[in-house]
Amino acid sequence: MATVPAPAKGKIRRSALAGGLRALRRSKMMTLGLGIMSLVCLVALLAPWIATHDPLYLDPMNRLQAPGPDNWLGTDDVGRDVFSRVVYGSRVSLLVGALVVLSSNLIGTLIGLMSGYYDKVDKVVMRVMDGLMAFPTTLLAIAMMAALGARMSNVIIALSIVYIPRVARVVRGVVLTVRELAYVEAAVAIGAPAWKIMLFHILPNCLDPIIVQSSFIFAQSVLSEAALSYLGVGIPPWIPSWGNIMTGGRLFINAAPWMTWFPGLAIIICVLGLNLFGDGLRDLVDPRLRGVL
Amino acid sequence: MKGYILNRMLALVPTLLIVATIGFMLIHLTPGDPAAVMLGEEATEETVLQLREELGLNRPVLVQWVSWLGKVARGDLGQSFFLHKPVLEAITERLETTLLLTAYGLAIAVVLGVVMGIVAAVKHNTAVDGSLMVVALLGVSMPSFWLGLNLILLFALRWKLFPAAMYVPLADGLWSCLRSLTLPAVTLGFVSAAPIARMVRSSMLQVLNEDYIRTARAKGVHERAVIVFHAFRNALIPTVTMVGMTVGSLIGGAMVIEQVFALPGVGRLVLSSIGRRDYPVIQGILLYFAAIYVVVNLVVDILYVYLDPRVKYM
Amino acid sequence: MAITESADQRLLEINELQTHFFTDDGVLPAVDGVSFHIDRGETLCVVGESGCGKSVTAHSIMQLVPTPPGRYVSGSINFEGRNLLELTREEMRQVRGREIAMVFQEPMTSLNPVHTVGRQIAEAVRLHRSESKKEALVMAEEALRLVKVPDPHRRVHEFPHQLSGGMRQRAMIAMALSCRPKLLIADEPTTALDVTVQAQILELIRSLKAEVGMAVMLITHDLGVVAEMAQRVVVMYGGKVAEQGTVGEVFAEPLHPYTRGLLSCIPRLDQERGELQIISGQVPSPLRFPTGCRFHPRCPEAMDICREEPPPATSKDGRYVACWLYDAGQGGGK
Repeated sequence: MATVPAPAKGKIRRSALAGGLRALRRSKMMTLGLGIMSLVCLVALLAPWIATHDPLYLDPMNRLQAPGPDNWLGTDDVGRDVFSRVVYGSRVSLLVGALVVLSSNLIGTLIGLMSGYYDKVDKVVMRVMDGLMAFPTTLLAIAMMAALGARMSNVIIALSIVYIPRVARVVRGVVLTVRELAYVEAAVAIGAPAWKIMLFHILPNCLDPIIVQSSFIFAQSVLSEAALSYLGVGIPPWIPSWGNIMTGGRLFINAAPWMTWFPGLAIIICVLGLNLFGDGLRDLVDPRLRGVL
Repeated sequence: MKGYILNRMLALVPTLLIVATIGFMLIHLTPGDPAAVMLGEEATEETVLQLREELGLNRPVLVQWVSWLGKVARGDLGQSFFLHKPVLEAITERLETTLLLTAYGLAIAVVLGVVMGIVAAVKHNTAVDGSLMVVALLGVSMPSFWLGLNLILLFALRWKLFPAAMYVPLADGLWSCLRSLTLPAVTLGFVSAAPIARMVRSSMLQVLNEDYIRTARAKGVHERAVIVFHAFRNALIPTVTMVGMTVGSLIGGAMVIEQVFALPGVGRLVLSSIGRRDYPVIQGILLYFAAIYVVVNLVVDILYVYLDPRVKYM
Repeated sequence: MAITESADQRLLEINELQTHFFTDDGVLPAVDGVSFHIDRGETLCVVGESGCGKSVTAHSIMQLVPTPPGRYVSGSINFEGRNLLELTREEMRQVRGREIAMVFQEPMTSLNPVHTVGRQIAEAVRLHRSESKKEALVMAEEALRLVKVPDPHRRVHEFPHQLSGGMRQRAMIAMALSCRPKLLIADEPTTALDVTVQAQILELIRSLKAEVGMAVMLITHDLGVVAEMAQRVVVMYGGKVAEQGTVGEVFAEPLHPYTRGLLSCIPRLDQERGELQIISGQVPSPLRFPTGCRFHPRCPEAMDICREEPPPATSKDGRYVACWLYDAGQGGGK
């Protein structure tokens, strides 16, 4: 089982973010990734102004049009403008990704801290986490969506449940190594309460791997949500998401490939940015994590 | 060693227990009454109550749970509500396609990923390394179904090299069966090869810097042998773990790809069952493949000990 | 005459070797014009502080320097008349292990952890002599017996992590000697070992040398080892050779101020008690070698010219020194 290597020289690793701008300058990958993500965020924020049409407006007379001056990325099988739908789709992907990252980190970190610190908790909880991780991720997500029903909130819940064990495992790994360190022993010796130790001594060491992993969880969420929506068990069809735009595309792949190409390219760009950022950050923070995160 | 294997197999039991429990909980995740949801809006109260009796939903949860565990232990995954046959039977009917697709995809992923990773590591910091890693990065960032759709467009529809959506069963001949699975397997394989390639490359780079590689060269070992017999043999250890994880993503990926390529596999069964609200089938499939994945990981664990003599398996 | 005689005797001859490292921070002239030779069957010690280029010199002979940042800029390494730097990769590969073998400093990490010790030794055997797997393993066991590893029959099937540091180093030596090379390069083979084990390993090298009839190039920073093991010694500093000669000559009458400093650092029982001697200053970083003579900032006898010009080499009858003190033009003399 892969574990996160101990912090160098037993000191608290200064969070990479403390180096902020300096970190950006040192890693071209990170900067590129951040740049791409900023672009995507900008598009999502300014969607109402960037989109050329109403993404939900049906225009059957205009269906399956190739990209042109009126419809920059063409129209789909019921005449909706693909460009506008892709633009609005960015909102869904970013929202879902961000909320999944947030909730899985919050709950996962809590579980990991408790598990790493208290052995009794560890035995029970990690079994459950291992049990959850025993399911192939996509299949688990599909099954949960089947039970819960296809709504955006359920997508977020389902994906969070999928990623919580992974966050918990990484955090637990850090806690296990850090709690053996001298300064934690010292804190315990002077009678510091557990929550203080966890918050001020252990948690700072977890920040770097958590942040690096968050980037990858975000990326995976975008891909998973797209797959779920594509299959029809994710975001409902009345909210344009990159995945469900492609659902219709399959039948018309020959007649109107743009229905498939452009939302897919949007996914690739977004996920690429996230992966670049994550790679760059991880290499900066601790290249040894390459096998683990 | 045998003791270790036995040990690990015994350790499976609690894991499988928890897996079965999580699977059991699935049907109860449904907001509202699962029986009512399954029957749809037209259902009368009587039919709903009848279904609840059939599914045993009226008993206390604990009883349901124990009875479920007992059934699963005997291999009974329940009864398909829609198809009127045991879930297990429904699964095994379609298993061939899915397993073949997964295996074929795994083979492509491992071969492609390992080769890419080794070449990139050996040609570190050259254009070859750079371009291979760009390709790998794209592979990791790409939705598999998008790639599948594009491959259909290119190879099946525009260039007519491969069949688009015609699965040929194994019984009709190995070659035509594999040929019909090639495009979907390549899709799955490429997307799964990318993370393997990245990990193999970083593993190899680490290993190639080790002192024992220098020793091997100092002995006069051929560079090819240095890379494969000395370096990769060490990089194999984390790679095997990663390949184990890849099987998990391949199983899920296969379900998606089956939809793209209209293959008559378990994925198709899952998706149609969702539409029909056939919860027992969904539960059963979830459990079935989780069990497969658990066994795969057991094999990986055992392999790990076999590959790395430093690991104490006491 | 004397030339043909010594040419036959000369096993290895390094001429003005320059191995530089080209990094983002600048060029490191790790080995910057090094010349010395080793005769058949003799033991030569290369001595100097960390960073003087002795390790890089040894790696250069075997061409094991990582060549993205490193490069063999100029000079020649003649082994039995052939310039190793001009060989093809395949030809050099054949030299390694069979003609010249090398043992490294860190026995804990120098053996492949996933293969048995026997298999790794057998690999060396099979590379240079065509034996079957079985025969090679038998020879591996023999090799372990030769280096006095206890219970070699069992050890042959064990993995490196099951052996102690001393035993691993013995196994490394067994591996190196399995093909009876003409030259063994040992790069600080005992530095990472306990003192008692050190003595054993050095004794082992000495006895094996007699048995195999090979030359030994021993790299060390420990002058005691030099006195014990070597016939001749090369003193290196700052990527260059400071002084060369037989051990007797150099120890009795060290010419270069650096050598004198090194020798005086060793406390002697018959010395008067007082402060221990040191060489003031620090070893310079290869990125910023001092101008002129590289030792001049730390040299108690530095003259003005030492700061400006690198010293010329003065050699006579195998004795060599690179110091302005001995340049005829400067009025010094041997």
